[in-house]
Amino acid sequence: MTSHPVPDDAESAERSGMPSPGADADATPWRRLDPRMLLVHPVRELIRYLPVLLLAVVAGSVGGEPWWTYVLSGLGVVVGLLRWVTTSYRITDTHVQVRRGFLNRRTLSVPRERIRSVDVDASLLHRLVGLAVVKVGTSASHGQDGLDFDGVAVSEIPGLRAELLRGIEQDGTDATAPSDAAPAPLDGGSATRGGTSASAMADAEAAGRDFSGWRWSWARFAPFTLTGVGSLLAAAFFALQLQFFDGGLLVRLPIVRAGLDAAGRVPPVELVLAGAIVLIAAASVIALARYVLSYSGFTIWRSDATTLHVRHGLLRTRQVTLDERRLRGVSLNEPLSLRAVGAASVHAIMTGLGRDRAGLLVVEPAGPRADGMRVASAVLGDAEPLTCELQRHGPRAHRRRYTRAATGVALLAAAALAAQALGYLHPLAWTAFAAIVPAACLLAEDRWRGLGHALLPGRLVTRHGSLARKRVVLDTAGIIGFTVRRSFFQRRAGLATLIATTAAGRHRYSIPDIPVDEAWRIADEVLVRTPRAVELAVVDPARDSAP
Amino acid sequence: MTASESTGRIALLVREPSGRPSPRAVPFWTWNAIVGWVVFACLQLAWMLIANAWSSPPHLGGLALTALVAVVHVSVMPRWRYRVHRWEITDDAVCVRSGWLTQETRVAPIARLQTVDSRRGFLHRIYGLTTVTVTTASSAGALSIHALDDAVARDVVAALTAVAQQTPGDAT
Repeated sequence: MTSHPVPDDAESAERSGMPSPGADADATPWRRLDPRMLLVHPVRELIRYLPVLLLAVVAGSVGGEPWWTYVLSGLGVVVGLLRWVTTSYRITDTHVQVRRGFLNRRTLSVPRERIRSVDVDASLLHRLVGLAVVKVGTSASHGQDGLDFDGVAVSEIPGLRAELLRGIEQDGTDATAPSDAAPAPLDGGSATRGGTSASAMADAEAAGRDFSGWRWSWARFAPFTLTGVGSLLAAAFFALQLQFFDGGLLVRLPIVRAGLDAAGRVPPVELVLAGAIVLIAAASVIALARYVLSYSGFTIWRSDATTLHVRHGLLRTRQVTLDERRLRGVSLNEPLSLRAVGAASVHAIMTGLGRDRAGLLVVEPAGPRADGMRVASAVLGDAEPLTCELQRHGPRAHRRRYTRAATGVALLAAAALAAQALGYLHPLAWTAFAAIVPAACLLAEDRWRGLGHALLPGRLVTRHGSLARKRVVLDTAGIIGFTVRRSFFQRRAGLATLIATTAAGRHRYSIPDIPVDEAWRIADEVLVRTPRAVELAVVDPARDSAP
Repeated sequence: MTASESTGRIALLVREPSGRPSPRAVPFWTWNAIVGWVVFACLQLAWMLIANAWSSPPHLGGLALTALVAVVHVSVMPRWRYRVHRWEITDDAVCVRSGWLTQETRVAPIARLQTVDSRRGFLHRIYGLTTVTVTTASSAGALSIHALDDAVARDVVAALTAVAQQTPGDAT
């Protein structure tokens, strides 16, 4: 790292910015981000202003005066350059501090023991000049300003990462991470001790063995992840919005007009078939592209007992390093489409991952189910919660799957009836219900077969859903509280939805339609009875580094 | 600090909390619901005004439906809610039951509380009521004790704030 000591600024920051507890008197020099960012910032700003600039050039060619556009773009470039000039950071013994802003200077100060993960994100632009963004996930990064170091030379990253994660070893404040029982004193002595361990960590980082088993051939599962369908739906929504709010802009476009004309000449059955084929093909291609771009070269490895690394990406690469003691469980995702081809994907449920990951970390992209199970149990350190037999929820829960499916069909029928009354629907469309009703029944049965839960020592397992089936394994030590929710119909059936709340992942994990007594038994077991000793033994066999 | 506080374990799980909201909660919820329905009806009337559809059957039907649902809601909901709402703070846990058609019971160990927040809106102040909300490290784990008597709420806030400060460790 190119470091420029700026002695005077340290004091002015204390005066103008927020107070930085514990680091006031620290003489650690402030460091700047890599100067190569001076190349990245202008290009990035220009890309951002590209549409406006293109419009300006077009307008200029017909005699307009688009000078303000150039001024605006130039201003953007200057702001980008200023961002580099005004950002500096330092890592003291106790805190990580980032100072930014030109007019409103602010200093963000985070205690190092709060650091949970380091996420290295390298866009194509960054990679061209040999840089990456280092994002630091803290224990409170939900909805809070993250610590981002935009522009660190790739060669510096292992050192910086080790330096940032060094604080984890000294974390002794969190009562729920029983393994950090021996907090090291945070004084000058620990810095030298940490310094050696930092370089040791950087060395060890490369040592771990990849256990993901990812292969290029896994891209064949991409179309079944339905990410392509999601993209198409988003595009359709955008197109409809143009159509409705911009006065039919879409139908006025010549290419759309030609397409509609051509479609009008084709008989309806062929049109529907051709449309379906085109849509499926488009969704598959999009899903494939997204899969290859984000998950190519997927690797996951452990450098020591508590540090997990995940790296993936083709053009934009990401590497996450995290403190495994923040792991609160895993989720095995088997949506219907993936299950049909024997595939699954795995997420780790963690705290302190940073905003853009929402507490979920992909530890295995869509791939063969066996590989998913292997990785999930390796991350968990235990295969039993993933394979154990689940407790069923009884005949009333079974019946409720069908009544809910029937309600869905009834709503659809009511909507169709209304559409027909208003003259939007051809009577022949009712034949679709010949397919919808059996499909709803099959769905209900599959939802029933997926429904189940288990309470193992130290682990709560829940599985539900059909189209988006998930099996979630949650450490009971990470469960903060419970919500027992009962709708009117659930009360009549003696059922409840038990929701475990946690600070990790999606923050809420539910067991739907569980018999109410069983719900209370689980809450009781988890919150009252589980002795701490059992939890320690079961939850942290490999991760316990306490003497 | 005891072991139960630092680990988030509790001694006893309360299924049926004993505390009730203030009796003034019933008129409070009634007026709250009335205000909501009046706003909704005004929006419907504004739509009719803009569309100039004073005699159109769908609009009049919609208005009649709103009136019907509003009357049922306003007459049933507050009493039902009062029967359901319960709260209790034991030595090591907070337990709250709320709702009416859909009922929820929430439990959180006191060791997991992060912030204690009391809220008094305009209508709350008229009836001398306070809603106390405690949050945990989980965004899905907040507990609200609705429509407490002001004096009771002050005691609750004081007690909860005192224990919330004592206990580090919030399961992050």
